[in-house]
Amino acid sequence: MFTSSTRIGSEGTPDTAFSPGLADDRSGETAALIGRMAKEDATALAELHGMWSPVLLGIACRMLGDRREAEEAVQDTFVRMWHRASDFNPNQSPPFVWAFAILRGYCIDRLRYRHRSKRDSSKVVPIHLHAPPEESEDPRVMALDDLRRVRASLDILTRDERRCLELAVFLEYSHSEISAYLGTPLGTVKNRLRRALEKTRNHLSRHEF
Amino acid sequence: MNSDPHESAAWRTFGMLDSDESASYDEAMRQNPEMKREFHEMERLAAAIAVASTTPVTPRAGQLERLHLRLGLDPLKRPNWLGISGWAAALAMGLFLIFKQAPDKSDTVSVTQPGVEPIVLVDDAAAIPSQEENPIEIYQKQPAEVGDTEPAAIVERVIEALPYVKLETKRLIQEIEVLREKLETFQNQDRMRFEPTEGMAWPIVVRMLPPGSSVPADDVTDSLTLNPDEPTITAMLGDALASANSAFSGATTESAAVYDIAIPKVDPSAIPIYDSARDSGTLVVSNLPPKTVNESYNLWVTTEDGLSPVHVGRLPENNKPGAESFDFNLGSTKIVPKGFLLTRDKQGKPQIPSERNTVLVGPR
Repeated sequence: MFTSSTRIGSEGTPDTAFSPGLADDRSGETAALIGRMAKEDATALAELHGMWSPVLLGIACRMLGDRREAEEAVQDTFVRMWHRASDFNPNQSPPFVWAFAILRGYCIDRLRYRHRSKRDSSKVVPIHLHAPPEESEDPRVMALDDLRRVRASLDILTRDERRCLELAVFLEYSHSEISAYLGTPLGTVKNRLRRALEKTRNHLSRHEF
Repeated sequence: MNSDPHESAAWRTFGMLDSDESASYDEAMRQNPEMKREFHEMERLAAAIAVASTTPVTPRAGQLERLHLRLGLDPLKRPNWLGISGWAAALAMGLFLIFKQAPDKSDTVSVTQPGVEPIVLVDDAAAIPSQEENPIEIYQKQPAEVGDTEPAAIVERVIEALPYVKLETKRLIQEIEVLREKLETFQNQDRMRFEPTEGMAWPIVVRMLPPGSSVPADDVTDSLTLNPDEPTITAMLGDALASANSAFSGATTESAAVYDIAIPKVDPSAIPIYDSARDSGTLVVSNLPPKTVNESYNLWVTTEDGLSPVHVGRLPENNKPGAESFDFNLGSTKIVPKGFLLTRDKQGKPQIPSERNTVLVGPR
């Protein structure tokens, strides 16, 4: 049963959540665009598409490993966003997190449709262990300091920890699937994931910009 | 399952819980705002990790237009260069008319006639050129100086004509669209018709009739290439199949008798269908005349070079009334048949087709 028990801190570090506002829409620009989209403003859709589609397509390519399919997933995502713009609640999740959740759902559906053994697209679209070039960052997608913090937190992970975390984030692999995929014992996978999450959280909590 | 809310939130976000665990977590989240907050924070972290570890990929051109189409939205406004060019042409034509007609008036001023005062339609006498001025210069000056009100009238006429120009342009554009669609349809048809298909070629289909019989008026062509669109072929094959079905249903003596009574006697006929690409043919024969026990039917093919017919083979014994089909091939002969002949000969002694032994021939 799930309870709101006391958090398990690691190595005596203060047990605080990572700073509030991660991936927030600080300027309110994108939330305003979604608001306009709810009123069927096609120009708002065009603006959002121009702003988000490269990142969403990059994520979809990484998840699906097939550009054409990734484009379809991004299209589906924008269609869903258009129809559900009026339901968007900026207090619940930031705009991009909302879009990412929709895209991820579509990609996972497509991956589930395929055979499980073909799910890992990392062979097709290489997983970047280093941060993408600075110029590809768009502050309208995510604040630059947020991006740097997250990247820094990922950089402190070991290669195996990061690999486990990415398989979980991008491909929604279960513990046992990660274990089978990496050929690593289940317990080890769970420990790596747990450590990866703790390290990331602690790093983000300590290094507020 | 894990009692640590962080981990539980992470596993829920990453889809690592089974359906029961997810439902249990969601229920707990509804009652506990802290868990809800954890979950949303984990969603933020997942999105941030995804963005931070992914290189953006620029979408290909036309994605936004596709999206607009899917949503049934009007495409973004773009300059209609075709329409603009039409208006620009109309404007240019109007200006041309203005500048062409204005000099025509002044052209009546016979500057070429010596001794005649040039008539210039200007109010300002000071602007009247002296006779020493070059007549060409005078001519060139006229348009700018003469009849300020007339170009306005011309422009007015041009403006009046513009709706018609617009209509005509629209009509022409529509006509071009229709013609383009027609052209595309024809191109597609040609592509379908002439696209080579591996292992397939147009089969040769021939109707064989008795040598002396008359060709039906509606069946002038008895040799043709198979074309699914041709009703003649369909009718021919339909007839043959109908006969074959009748023959099949006539397996019992009783129904055969009914068949004999109900169906009037018809001339013998045959339809060989031969696919040269696969060297595979079928001969559908109908109502062949009865033969004695010592006789057999033989199929022959004629060739383009006019040499003696080539023996294909003996038809298997057929005791059924009506129609039956036989498969054949030309094997090592490597010939493309020009025609087919069916002869009735003594068993095991096929004779070169002649008037005496030929039962069916086609085409004739």
